[in-house]
Amino acid sequence: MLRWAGLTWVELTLGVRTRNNGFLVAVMAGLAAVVSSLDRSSHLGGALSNRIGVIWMALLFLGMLETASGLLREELPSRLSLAIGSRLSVFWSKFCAAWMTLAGAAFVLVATTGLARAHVGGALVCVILGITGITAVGTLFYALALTTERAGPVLPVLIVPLELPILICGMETMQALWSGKDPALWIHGMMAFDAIFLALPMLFIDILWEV
Amino acid sequence: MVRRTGWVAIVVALMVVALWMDLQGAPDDAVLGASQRIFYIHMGAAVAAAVAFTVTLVASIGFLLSKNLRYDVFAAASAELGTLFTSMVLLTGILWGRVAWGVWWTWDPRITATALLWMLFSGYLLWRESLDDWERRARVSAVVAIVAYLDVPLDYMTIRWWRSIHPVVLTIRGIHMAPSMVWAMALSEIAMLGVYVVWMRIRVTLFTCEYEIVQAKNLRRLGTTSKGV
Repeated sequence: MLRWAGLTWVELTLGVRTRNNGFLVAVMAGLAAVVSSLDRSSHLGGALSNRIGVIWMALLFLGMLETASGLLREELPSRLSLAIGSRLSVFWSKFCAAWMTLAGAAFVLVATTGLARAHVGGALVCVILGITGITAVGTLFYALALTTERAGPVLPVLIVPLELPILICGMETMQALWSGKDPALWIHGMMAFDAIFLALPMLFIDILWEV
Repeated sequence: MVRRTGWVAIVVALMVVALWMDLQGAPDDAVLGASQRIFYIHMGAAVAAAVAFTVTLVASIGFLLSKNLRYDVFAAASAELGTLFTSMVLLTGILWGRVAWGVWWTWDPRITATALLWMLFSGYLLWRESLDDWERRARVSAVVAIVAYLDVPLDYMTIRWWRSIHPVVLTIRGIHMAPSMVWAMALSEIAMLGVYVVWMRIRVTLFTCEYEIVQAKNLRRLGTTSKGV
């Protein structure tokens, strides 16, 4: 547990030192500006689905950027053996660092768009489940890329379709919350998605990082 | 060679009978008319795709358990054919949907899940192509195939879990079709599965040859290097 917490701290500080997180914050600020301008424009003004759509698309791309920067930082698979004992703790530390950055981004995006005003609890649950799924898929697939040097550019082709279900469930949950419908089905969908993609690395990570 | 030609002849005969049944033998639908006939090919291709992806899943698990590259060859060949059959499903579905629903495409849960399936296995095939080391490619591809397969049961259940405009033909209460239509559908499915089996044999043979050539080249290169040393 201590090793995992230490590694997560290293990941987060490394992100700050290498200015990866700064880049992400800049991207996030840009997206928030787009959302705000959409909100004020006359023809799209206040359209709930637009705001929700922009939030989830932003989270999808931020998730891909963050998980990629965390894992592709490891230039050689052999470097992973530096983490004494479990490779799983390396994996989870990268997952947690990406999750925390994404949680910060989600907080800013939801606050900027004013979506949390009416349903704070619902928005929180929805965003937490959503970013967990996005980060879990991203971390698993970028972990695959560690031992496959030339495969990096092909990754988005696999990651985007896999993350679409969580994107759809997240958007539908938010839509249901704000239009007074029952979001239970979509929330259950997100929970199932998260459970699957949090369990898969436990099964596969040692096979994937076999050097 | 004779045995393979025999298999091909059987499958061609099956296809001819199935096509005759689909285009002539089965009656027109009361509402959709002759356009219903697209459905038989659509359903046949869908069943073949499901079987192909299931073979990929089983072969991928087999590889991870045994590390035998023969399983990886089966997984790759079957994923290729599954993707091809899924393309057929999407194409015939688009044509049928235009007549039945009046639109070429709609973001219905079933159609979206099928499009996702096609994208995932296309990604799987692209991913395989980008890796050179056979052992590593097999290992990583097996994991990707297992993850991508998650969409197959999801695709099947979408019309049962969510509100969908896609018709539900198979239910626990039976098949919702006229008996003569059921025959046409069953024949189409058998014929498509026959195409899958024959094509699979050809692809597995080709993949095995490719693997043996790569191995022979590697051995030759190793021999040259050791002589040089």
